[in-house]
Amino acid sequence: MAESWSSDAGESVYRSRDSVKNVKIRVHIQRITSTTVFSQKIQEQAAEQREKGLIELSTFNTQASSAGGRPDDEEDITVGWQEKLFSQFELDLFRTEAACQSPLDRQYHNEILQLEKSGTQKNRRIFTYTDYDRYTNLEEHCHSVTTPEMHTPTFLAERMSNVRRRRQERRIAEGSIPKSRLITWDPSEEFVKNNHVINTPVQTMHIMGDLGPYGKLGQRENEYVLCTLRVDSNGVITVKPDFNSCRGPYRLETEGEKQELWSYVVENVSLSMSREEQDREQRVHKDLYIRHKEYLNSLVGQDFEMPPPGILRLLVNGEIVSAQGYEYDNLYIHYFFELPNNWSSQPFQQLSGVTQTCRTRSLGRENVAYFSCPFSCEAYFRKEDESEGSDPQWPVLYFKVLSLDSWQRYRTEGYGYLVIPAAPGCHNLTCAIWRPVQSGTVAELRRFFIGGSTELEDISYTRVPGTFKGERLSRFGFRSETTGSVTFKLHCIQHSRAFIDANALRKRRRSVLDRLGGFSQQSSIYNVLDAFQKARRRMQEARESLPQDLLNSTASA
Amino acid sequence: MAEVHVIGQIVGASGFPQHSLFCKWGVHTGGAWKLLSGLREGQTQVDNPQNEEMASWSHPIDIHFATKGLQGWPKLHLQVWHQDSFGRCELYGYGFCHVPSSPGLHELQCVTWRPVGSWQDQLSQLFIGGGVQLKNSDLIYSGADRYRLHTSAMGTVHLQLGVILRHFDRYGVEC
Repeated sequence: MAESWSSDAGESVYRSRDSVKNVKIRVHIQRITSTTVFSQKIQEQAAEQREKGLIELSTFNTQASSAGGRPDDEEDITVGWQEKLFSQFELDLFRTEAACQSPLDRQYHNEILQLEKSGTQKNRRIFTYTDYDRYTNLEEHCHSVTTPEMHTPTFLAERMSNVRRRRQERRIAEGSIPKSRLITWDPSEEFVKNNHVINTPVQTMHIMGDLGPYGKLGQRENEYVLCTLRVDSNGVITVKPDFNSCRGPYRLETEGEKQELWSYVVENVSLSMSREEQDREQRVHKDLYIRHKEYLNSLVGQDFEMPPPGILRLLVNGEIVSAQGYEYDNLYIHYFFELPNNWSSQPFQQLSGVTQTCRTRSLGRENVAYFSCPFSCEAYFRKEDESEGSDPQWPVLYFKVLSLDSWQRYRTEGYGYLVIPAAPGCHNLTCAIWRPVQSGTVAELRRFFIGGSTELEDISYTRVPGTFKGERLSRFGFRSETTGSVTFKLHCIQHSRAFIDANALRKRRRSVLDRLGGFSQQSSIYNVLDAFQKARRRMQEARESLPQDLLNSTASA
Repeated sequence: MAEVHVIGQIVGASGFPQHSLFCKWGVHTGGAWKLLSGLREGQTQVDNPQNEEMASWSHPIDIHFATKGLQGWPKLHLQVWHQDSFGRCELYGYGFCHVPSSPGLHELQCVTWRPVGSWQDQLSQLFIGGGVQLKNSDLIYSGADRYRLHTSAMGTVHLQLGVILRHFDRYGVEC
C-alpha cells in the first residue's frame, strides 16, 4: 500500500466555459490501520490466485469495505458545487436556536432540523465549507503559510482578503467609463481598499474531513482540508490537490496524540457533454463566425481602382517638413515636379506649389522654419520601347527657397532638387541647397540692402539642364555658395497590374523594371484569350442553329 | 477592397513656449475611403509636465479603413492648444502628417506652425493672449492656399503609428 502514495499535492488549473454548477467531485477517504493493510495484502493475493484458477475462499470476497475495521473508517461522498454538507460540529452547534446569529446560521438551523426529520444525511466524516461560511473568509484572512502561526496577518494579506470577498457583485463592463465624475476627490476607506488591488473575484469551496477518533466526531481540531476548489468568473477552476486520475491516493497524517494515517482519493465525476452535443455547439459557433465574416466582407466590398494594363502608377504623398540653416528669415519654398519621358499625369494634377512664409525659430545652433506642407503627385509610366538597356528616369522635384521680409525685400536663398526614390515606402530625405553668386561685391551689397539676387533662368540647371545633349556636363565658371538644407518626407506607392502576376508567380525581382517587363507578353496573352472566347461563342451559336437530331447523332458517334 | 489599420498613439509634444498643452487631432481621407471602425477625431487631455520638457498625452489612435482606390490616402492633422491658468485656450500650432503607407511601426515627428498677424496683433497677443487662427481648418492639410499665410515655427508633436495593410498585394500595389 505504501508504495503507491501520491506525494504531489500541488494544485492544478482547469478551464471550462460551461457553467460551474455542473461540477461534481467524489471524495473517498479511508483510514489506514494495520488491519486494513493486512486485509489489502490478502486481497491482492486472492486476486492473483483467482487469476491462477485456484479455489476462492469465500471469506475474502467481501472486501469492498475495509473489513476488520470499524464502519466509519471509510467514506465515499459525491459533492456538487457549493453543496453544503454539515459536519458533526455544525450539527451540534446549529441545532439550538440560540446559537444562530446571522441569517445564514438560521438557514442552517432550518436545514438541520429538516435533515433530522427526514434522516437523509448522507455524510458523516466528510463535510463542506461553502463560499458563504465564516471559515472560508477567516481562512483567507488569517491563513498563515509559515510554521510559527502568525496571529496577525500582514498588511497586504489584509487588503487582499477584502478584495477577494467582493466575489461577483461588482461586474464592471469593459469600456463603460462614466462620462461625468471621472475623478473621485474624497475617496472613502472602502473605496481605497477596493480599488488599489486588482484581482479577479473567486468563489471558494472546501471539502473537509472530520478525522477524529471513532465516536468522537465534532471537534474542531480534527477538521482537515481534503480538497479546495476555486472558481473565478472567467471559468478558471483551481483544484488543490489535483484529481488522482491514475495516481495513488493522497495521505494525511493527523496531528495530536494519536497520529493516524488516512488516505483519500479525489475524482472528477462531472457529467461531460456528449459528443453530439459538442459537435452541435461547435457547428453553431462556426456558423455564427462565418456569418459575421460575411457581414464584414460585405462592408468592405470587392472592387478596387486599377490602372490600365502595362502602366505603372506612381503615387507620392509627401510633405515639406522644414528648412534650416539660412541667412535670412521668413522663408518660403516654391517647388515643382518634372516628369521625364514616358511619364504622364492627369491634366488636373497640380505639379507645382508654394508653401507659406514661415518665420524661423532657433533650434540648437540653427534657425529652422517649419512648413509641414503637404503635396501629392500621381504619375503614370508607360514603357514605349522594349529595350531593357536604359533604366527609366524617375520624376524629379525641383524647388527653390526664398525669403521675403516685412519690407518686401525678396531674396533667393537657394536651389535644390530631389529625385523621387525608386523603391516604395517611407523616405525621410534632406537636400542640401546652394545659391548662385556673382563675383564682386555689388551683387552682395544689393542683396543685403534692397533685396534681389541672381536667379537661375532654368531651374533644371540644378540637376541636368533640359537643354543638355551631350556626354559631359560642364559647370565650369559657375559660382555658388552653400546655404542651408530642406527636409522632406515622402511616402511612395507603386501600383501596377503586372505586380499581381509577379506576386502570383512568387518571384521576387529586384527592380521595378524587371517586374514591368513582360507586360507585352501579357497583352498578347489577352489577345489570344479574346480570340478564343470569340471563336467559342461563334461555335456555340452555330451549334444552336443546327437541327436537334444532327446534334444527337454527332454526340453518340 | 483593401483595408488599412492605423493603430498607434499621440505620445506627446515638445518645444512649445509654455506647458499645459492639449491636442485636437483628426484624420482626413479622400472619397474612396470608408471608415469601418474607430474614431476619426478626438482631443487629448491637458497635460502640464512638472519637471520634464515633453508634455505626454499617450492618446490612442485606432482606426480601420476600407478603400477602393489609392487616392486620398489618410492624413492626420493636429492642432496644439495651450490652456492657461485662467482657463483660456490659445492656439499654439497646426501640424500635419500623412499616415505612412508602408506597413510597420513608424515614429513620426510632426512639426507645427502658427499663423502670425500684424505687429499690432502680436503686441496684443503678448499681453492678452489670443492670436490669429485659421478660419477653415482645411488649410492644415491642403497645400493649395498656403501662400496666403504668414506663419511662425512652433514645436513638434511626437507620434507612434503602426500601420497594417490588407489585400493591397492582391491588387498589385507596392507600398
